[in-house]
Amino acid sequence: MKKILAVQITVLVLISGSLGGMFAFTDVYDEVHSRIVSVICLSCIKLDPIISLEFTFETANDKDHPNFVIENLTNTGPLFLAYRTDVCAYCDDMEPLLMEIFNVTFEKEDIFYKTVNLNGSDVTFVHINTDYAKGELFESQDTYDIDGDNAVPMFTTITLGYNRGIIEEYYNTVYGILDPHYNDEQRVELLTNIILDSIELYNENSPGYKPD
Amino acid sequence: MKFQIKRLVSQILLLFSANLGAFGLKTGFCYPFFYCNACPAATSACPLRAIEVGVFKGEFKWKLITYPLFIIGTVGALTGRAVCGWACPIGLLQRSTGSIARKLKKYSIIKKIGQHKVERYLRYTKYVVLVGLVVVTTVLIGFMFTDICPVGFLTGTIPILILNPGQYIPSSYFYPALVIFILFIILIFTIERGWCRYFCPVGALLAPFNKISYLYIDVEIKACTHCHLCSNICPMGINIPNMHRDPECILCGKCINTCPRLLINFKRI
Repeated sequence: MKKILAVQITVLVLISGSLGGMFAFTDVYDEVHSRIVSVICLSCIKLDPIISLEFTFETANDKDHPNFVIENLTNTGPLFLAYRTDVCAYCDDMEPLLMEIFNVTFEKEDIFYKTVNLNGSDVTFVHINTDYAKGELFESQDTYDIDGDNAVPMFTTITLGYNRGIIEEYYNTVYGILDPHYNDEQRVELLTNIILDSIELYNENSPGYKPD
Repeated sequence: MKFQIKRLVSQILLLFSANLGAFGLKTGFCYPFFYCNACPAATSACPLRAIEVGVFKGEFKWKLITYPLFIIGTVGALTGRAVCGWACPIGLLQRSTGSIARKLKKYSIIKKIGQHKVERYLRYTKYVVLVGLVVVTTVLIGFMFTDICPVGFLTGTIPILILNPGQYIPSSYFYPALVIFILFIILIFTIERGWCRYFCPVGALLAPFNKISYLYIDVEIKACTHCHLCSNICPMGINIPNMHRDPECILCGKCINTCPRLLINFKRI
């Protein structure tokens, strides 16, 4: 009995002490909260969100568009924001397609932007890994997350549109692998079409754009 | 009997607290039992998902691997697998299907399956699921267990489809997961605690702690008449008189209530 009691106490002290240490000295609680609990796990639910090709004016959280978006729309052109997390099987599937469309190379941890010329117009590609992004870049995911599930990968294309007499920011968000029945070629085509629509809208509306 | 009502109350309270996310409470804890963080009302993370994220494609994130293990370890060191019997919502589900499984035992084919010599080896399947599907395939290929997990299907997929009609379409894993979910339902209706016995990876994590846990079930074997009433009532199919801190015991206490000579009791070290 004494032997098992000693083993029991040792195990309990070691394990619970280590757990207490993790709470005290690491950010594991926040990490589990933000990476697992607050994010919908498409793998766990075995479902893909139905994508909408419609653009919309209302932001998902009713907040203003981030400054970097407004600045880019004012000076450069439409933006394509690609959100991911470190551990995301669908993101790994989709990123080679983004590299093909925008002719860029990057690692999954990278947070960067690059303006590329597509069909004679400038489009800014922004890659955001939300595990590392901070400030406006991080918060922008909530702003454009129409489904409100924090699902990744999430692709947001932002351009300008005509809304009851005013030129305003106009965006579209799609998620995941777009459609499980598509092949890579169809996925590239769909994303390219959204981007081309955004370029057309931008060219139509940018002369009248006066951000607040 | 009152004791079993207390256990039922505990299970219902834990089911409720596991779903406080419905009221906006989302924490950074891992459940010490099996419940899916994809459930719209989930308040914490599935420990298996945390381990999967920790080992995904060989990127060992030690914080995420050890955190759920320490949570399960702390609970396991204190109470062993009592979590399975007293707290786990999937345990509660199997408790409700257990009476049907028990009635089906009278059919000879079900009885034969339960008494087949292979049955005791099948109990090791849960360790294979834990190591193989949760860890090894995630390291080498990517997510596998969560893609086909029947508990995720029950607590994540079905509620999301009901709450968000027309917003989602089945992914490529939906139909394989549906088949596994149907098999899971058949299993829990035909074999009492079939999921806990054979397949639950969280049970596999908790089981070894039965050997050293502070709380355990003790049988006064010298006075036992081997009437086997306790073994017959045991939902985990354990040979109670010969069990000594059996890794399968979920400390449900049904054997304690059944023993006519009151030889079985909860013990603390």
